[in-house]
Amino acid sequence: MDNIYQEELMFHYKNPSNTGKLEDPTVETTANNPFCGDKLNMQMHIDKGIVKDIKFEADACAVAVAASSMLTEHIKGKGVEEIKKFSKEQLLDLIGVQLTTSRVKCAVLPLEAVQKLVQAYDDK
Amino acid sequence: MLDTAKLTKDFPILTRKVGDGKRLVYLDNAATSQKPQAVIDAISDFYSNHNANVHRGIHTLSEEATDMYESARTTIAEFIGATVPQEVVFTKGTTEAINRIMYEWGVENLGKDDVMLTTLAEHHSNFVPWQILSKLTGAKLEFINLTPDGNIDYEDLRAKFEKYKKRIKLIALSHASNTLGTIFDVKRLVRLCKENNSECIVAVDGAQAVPHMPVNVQSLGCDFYSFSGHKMLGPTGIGVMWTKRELLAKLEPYEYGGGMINEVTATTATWADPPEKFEAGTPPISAAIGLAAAVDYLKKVDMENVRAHEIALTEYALSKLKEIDGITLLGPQEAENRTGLVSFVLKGIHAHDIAAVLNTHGVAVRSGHHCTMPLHIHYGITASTRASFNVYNTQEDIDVLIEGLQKAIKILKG
Repeated sequence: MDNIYQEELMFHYKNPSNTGKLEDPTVETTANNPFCGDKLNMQMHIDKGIVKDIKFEADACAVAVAASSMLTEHIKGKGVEEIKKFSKEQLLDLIGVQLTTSRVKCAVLPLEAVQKLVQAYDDK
Repeated sequence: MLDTAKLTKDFPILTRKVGDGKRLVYLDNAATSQKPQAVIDAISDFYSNHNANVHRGIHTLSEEATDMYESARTTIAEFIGATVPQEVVFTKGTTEAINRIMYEWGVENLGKDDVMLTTLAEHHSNFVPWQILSKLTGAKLEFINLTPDGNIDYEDLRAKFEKYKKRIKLIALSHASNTLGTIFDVKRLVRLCKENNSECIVAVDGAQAVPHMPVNVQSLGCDFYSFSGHKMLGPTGIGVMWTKRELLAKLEPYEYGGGMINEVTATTATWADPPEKFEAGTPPISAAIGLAAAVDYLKKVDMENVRAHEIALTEYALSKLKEIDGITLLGPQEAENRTGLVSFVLKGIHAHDIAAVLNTHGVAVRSGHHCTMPLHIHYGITASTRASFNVYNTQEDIDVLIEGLQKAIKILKG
């Protein structure tokens, strides 16, 4: 198993992109991992099916925060249809570190939030 | 005093290496304990030499299995100070025992004018059943306040007695908290509760107490006492619902089937006497035998020695942890008021990351809410880290824990 606390992940944990709150969110949601106490709040500003802006706030572990930073960087500017197809495997590839089963749950938390948001946009 | 160097050799799993060839430093005993060879052998021996179903046959193996199973019941009954072995009903664990109390006593005896008291410190298994019981019967569920260091606020308890008087029919609380480490003064609480209402029932969750200190249910004076085998060096899948004999005689079963009946016709069924009345189906025979072996082991070690050992370890752990910058320790200040565990929060570092870094040092701790979400919400904490001890832990284990914590701070904050 890789040491997960290596440079890139730690960089995203200590300097996460896209943190904070949006002024005019189109959709917002929370995602929780009750087993370890990770909490995530995420907002998107979506215009004509494109995620123009995205922000999150987390009370969460390094993996969840880093994954949120990397994922939000990746999907910002992309279309809702494309984002819907973004899979767990692609996310783990993006993170690029081998994770144990329990840590995968932390990494997937922001993806859960993202999918909830794009679904909510579609349902509107 | 415990000869931990000798004792550690009794536990085969402690020779394991984890991760990068690190010695296993197992500090997650509040979740489950490791097993001495004697317990593993007892279970193995049962399956190799004596396995048969109990109470049903007159062939040799069945007689042997029945004797061993009932002998296990007697061993365990004596260990906790029961009046007779029939007061010990085997379950699959503490959670099942408490759910049984809810269904077998609670549903029949509580109504909408009644009040139940518990605390926000309870494990979900001694919390959710009472929420459900409140919904099922209309009885009100109230919480006794906790002091900042995690003990019962006796002033608030008095106020509740003043307010509700004889409406209080049940008090459900733990003997020791799995997150705070607090040892609650059950004897005192039973006395106060019965002074307020002699009919009030006290149901105690002893899962975190029986493994760590001498327990005598008669001396405590409670009506129900529940605990699990796997936290006290025994196997998983076995626990005990101890009930005062006179009370047990009045309860109706909530599990029906073979083994708990006296006579069955096409349209009727009558019940066996306790404890069989409450043990439907084939019981966890090998697990009960394994638990008796665990009790025998603990008796040889002596529970007074176990307690003294854990106080010393906890004292040492508290003193070392206090020195860490940004740490908040949960629970009572003094080791004598605690069972052998310490939960803490490190400022700016998530519990999950602490546990992950400690794991790379071979240290197993628990991170999260330890099945005490209401408690964490009460203290405004998302997640905490918990190190919990047993007979085979040493001061050296705590040194490795501290070293690991300092490494975690460096990696995650530095």
